[in-house]
Amino acid sequence: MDFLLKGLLALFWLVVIPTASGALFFKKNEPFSLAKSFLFGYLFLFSISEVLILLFMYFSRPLHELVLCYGITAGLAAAGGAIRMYRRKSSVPGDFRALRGTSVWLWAAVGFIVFQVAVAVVLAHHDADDALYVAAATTAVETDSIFRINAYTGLPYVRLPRRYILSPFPIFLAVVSQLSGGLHPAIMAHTIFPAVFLPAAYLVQDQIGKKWFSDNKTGRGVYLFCAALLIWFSAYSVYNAGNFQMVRIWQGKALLASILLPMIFYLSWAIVLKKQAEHSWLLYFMANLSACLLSSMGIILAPVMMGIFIVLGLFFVRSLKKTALGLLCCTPSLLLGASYIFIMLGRKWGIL
Amino acid sequence: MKDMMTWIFSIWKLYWDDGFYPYLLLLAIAYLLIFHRKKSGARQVLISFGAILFVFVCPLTAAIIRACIGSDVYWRVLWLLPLIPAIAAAAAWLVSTRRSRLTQTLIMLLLIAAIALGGRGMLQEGNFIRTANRQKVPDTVARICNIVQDAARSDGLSEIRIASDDGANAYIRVYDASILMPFGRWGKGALTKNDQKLYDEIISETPHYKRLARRARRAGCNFLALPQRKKDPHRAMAQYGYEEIGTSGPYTIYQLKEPQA
Repeated sequence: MDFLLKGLLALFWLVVIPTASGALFFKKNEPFSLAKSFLFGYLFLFSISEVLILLFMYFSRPLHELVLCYGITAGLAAAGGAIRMYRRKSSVPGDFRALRGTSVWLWAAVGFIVFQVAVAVVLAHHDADDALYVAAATTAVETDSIFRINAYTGLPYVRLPRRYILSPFPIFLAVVSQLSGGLHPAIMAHTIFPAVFLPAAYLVQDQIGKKWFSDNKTGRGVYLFCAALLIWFSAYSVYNAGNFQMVRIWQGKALLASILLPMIFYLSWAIVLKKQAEHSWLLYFMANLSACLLSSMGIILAPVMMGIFIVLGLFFVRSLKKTALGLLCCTPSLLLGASYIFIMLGRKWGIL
Repeated sequence: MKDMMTWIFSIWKLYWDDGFYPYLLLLAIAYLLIFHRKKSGARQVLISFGAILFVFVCPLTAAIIRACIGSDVYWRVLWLLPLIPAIAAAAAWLVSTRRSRLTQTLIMLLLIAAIALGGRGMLQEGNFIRTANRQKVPDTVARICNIVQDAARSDGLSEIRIASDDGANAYIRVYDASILMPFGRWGKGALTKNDQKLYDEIISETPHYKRLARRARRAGCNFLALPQRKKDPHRAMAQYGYEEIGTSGPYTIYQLKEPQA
């Protein structure tokens, strides 16, 4: 299969499938938007990936079975979403019509974002952390296994890396690589992921901007343009989220910093801190689960952030039901955090 | 308490390094607080900023989070801070509340200059380079992998096990996961003391090549990619059966030609 066909397959699994499956998570009266559907779709796909990968890893199943299972689940969800879109008579080009008459700054922002994507796709950034994050995917593909073989050496693990097995984002990379006609995971990570996830990060920012500047087109344009500027000029330190977003968007922790945490910020204000939740609570739950897939840091940072907003909700919305629902949405992190401590103590005491 | 606060402040400084973004952030927060605090978006920024900053700074919460994630990555808590929403929203209100297009454009130009001068551009920092290989690993590493694969193919070897330094270790298995290594980046994954000592020897500025070759044979390495040093390693390597088969950038690649004892 040639490179172009693999690229098209990758775009199908990374753009079409998430966008279609995201349609399942709109509330009945919520206006449909392609951008939101794409983002919601990723929350769903990351969530099912976390659950499926942990299950397949626990039962020591080979990678190809996981690929099949993920493909079927994602495909069914996308089909369900497409049917839902059709039944609701959602007008797909609606988002483009809304762009008419928009501020010049929005177009400037789009142009600048396209430039950033082109830089990330055409050029390369060498990050030695790939020794684990990308090599774990190439290893999984090479050996048709899930975290059985040490990515550093290619030899069987003596002891599983407890920090990484609960956040197996590299396996997600391996799965989508396999679904894309066996595209090399390093090519998927370094070329395809930036083309998909950099725009996704800006879509999250645009959702925030759209909310605050709903009747102010100049404001929305300036917001997105400044967001793009701030990210581009983030090379002042190697620690900040903007730098992670630009130079290593294919790693789970970068996705956490640039997409998931801003998404949790957006959802918190739309769900937890709104008297009438604008979106489904399921999205808030899936955001937590998705953060767990992306990085071990997500297991901690996502509930910290959600916890802050749940406490704020207690003050501003004063609804115990919302507090309870919010806490319920944090259960994936709590469960995985407890498992992490259990594994750590178990090893310390020689039980595991 | 004082130590904790000093440590938290050092993390804050580490995160921003020499960028002026924290000042832009504080300016944006002040602007939103003074002129737009009644707007729902501005309130969202201000409340989130205050709450998250409190969690970051408060010694109790900081101690709890530090215990969970480790002190070396505590700076990641600052990822929660709504930096982009705060500065971008303040800029958006500052511009969009002016009626004249000319004034809007002038303010935007000032903002662009402030952001550009307050930070550092991605290309300016040399973050991105061109590579000749599609996997986008360093070209020297891709060449090492291709050389050893060609050599293994022509000699009918079914397994390749190569040892190298961190410059290559980090990317060899990213490029080609069929290649095995006795250890990875920073010597991680080494199963035996011999493998660990082999790593130490390879990264040493003045390696003892005879010892290195002996350990490499013991580790089952049929290939080595050694960074070039002042001392000529060829004689010592040949004594243990390793012959040079090529070079790639600063690396000399050796293959074990004699069957292992």
